Amino acid sequence: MPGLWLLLTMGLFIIADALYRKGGCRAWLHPTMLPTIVLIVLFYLTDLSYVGFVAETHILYAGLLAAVAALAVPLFRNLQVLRAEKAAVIAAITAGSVSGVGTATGIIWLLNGPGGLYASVVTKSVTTPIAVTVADAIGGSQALAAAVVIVTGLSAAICGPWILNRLGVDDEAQMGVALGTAGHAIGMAEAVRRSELMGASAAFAMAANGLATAIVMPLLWRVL
Amino acid sequence: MTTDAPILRTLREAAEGLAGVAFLTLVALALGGLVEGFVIPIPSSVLAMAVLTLFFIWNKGVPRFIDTGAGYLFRIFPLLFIPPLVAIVDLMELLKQQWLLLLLIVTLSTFLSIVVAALTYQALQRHMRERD
Repeated sequence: MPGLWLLLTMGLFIIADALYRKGGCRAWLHPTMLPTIVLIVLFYLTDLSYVGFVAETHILYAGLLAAVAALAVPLFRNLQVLRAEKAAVIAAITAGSVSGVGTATGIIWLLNGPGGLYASVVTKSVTTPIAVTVADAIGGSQALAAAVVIVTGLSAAICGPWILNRLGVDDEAQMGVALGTAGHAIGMAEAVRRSELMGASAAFAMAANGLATAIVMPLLWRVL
Repeated sequence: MTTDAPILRTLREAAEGLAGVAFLTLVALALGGLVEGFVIPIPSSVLAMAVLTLFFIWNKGVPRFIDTGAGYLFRIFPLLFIPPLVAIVDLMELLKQQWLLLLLIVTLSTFLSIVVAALTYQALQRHMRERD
């Protein structure tokens, strides 16, 4: 039946979103979790066509492009706040980005992981199109880079707000910058749900981190 | 007339919102063509976000239909991420080989990145406020 995958995805999302709201917006009930797990299990355990799913949900991909473009709205509205604290914002994005890449590569080195893994994890905190382009340019696996990016974003969106609350960080701009820097577009989507300022900060952090990684990483890789 | 007014208002808002969604999609897709044509290493949606921000600065405001359309899209943002997340099913064999190492790398580095970014911002903001 044409459109079945789209209907199923939307239906699962509606159920997951209702559960998330009823459950007091708990991290582990994040509305992307239930539909993603159900669909992955379905494809993994059955012979159902994943290609059909991709074709039928393509409209959501177009919506995703439009939604990221739409972040210009909160970004414009909150430009004054970000401009007023630009030194802190840029320092936070740089520190968050460097510490993320440093920890990822440090763990591979400490655990004596395979050398080929480095180039596939250094792009973990940037949005997928940039990550796969950069990973390819520096000799990493595009598929692995994409998987790492997705899991990174999901872990930032699910656990990020909880970690920040535990640390006593309740400033919306600070939370947004942290979620956008570490969790790229998926972290940013969570920030947008919480407040306009948080969404705008996350959008700026995601774009700045992505652009800087796209420019700096291939150059750095050549030097190293 | 008075009973129709709220319905008409809702319909007008829905039409505005849909026009806004269509406009934002067209901008992102058009810039996607430009990105592909000139091999620019920036996602079209991020480029569209930058171009639209510059447009709003020049325009000194956000046109209402774009504002309404953006609101519609933000309400369903997590839904839009489900297909890219499900794409992981294509990488199951790859992930099965090194899942523990990858999980460790991803979670630890992501959590540290969040903490460092937030605390750096907090410390510098406090420093700037004390200085002022």
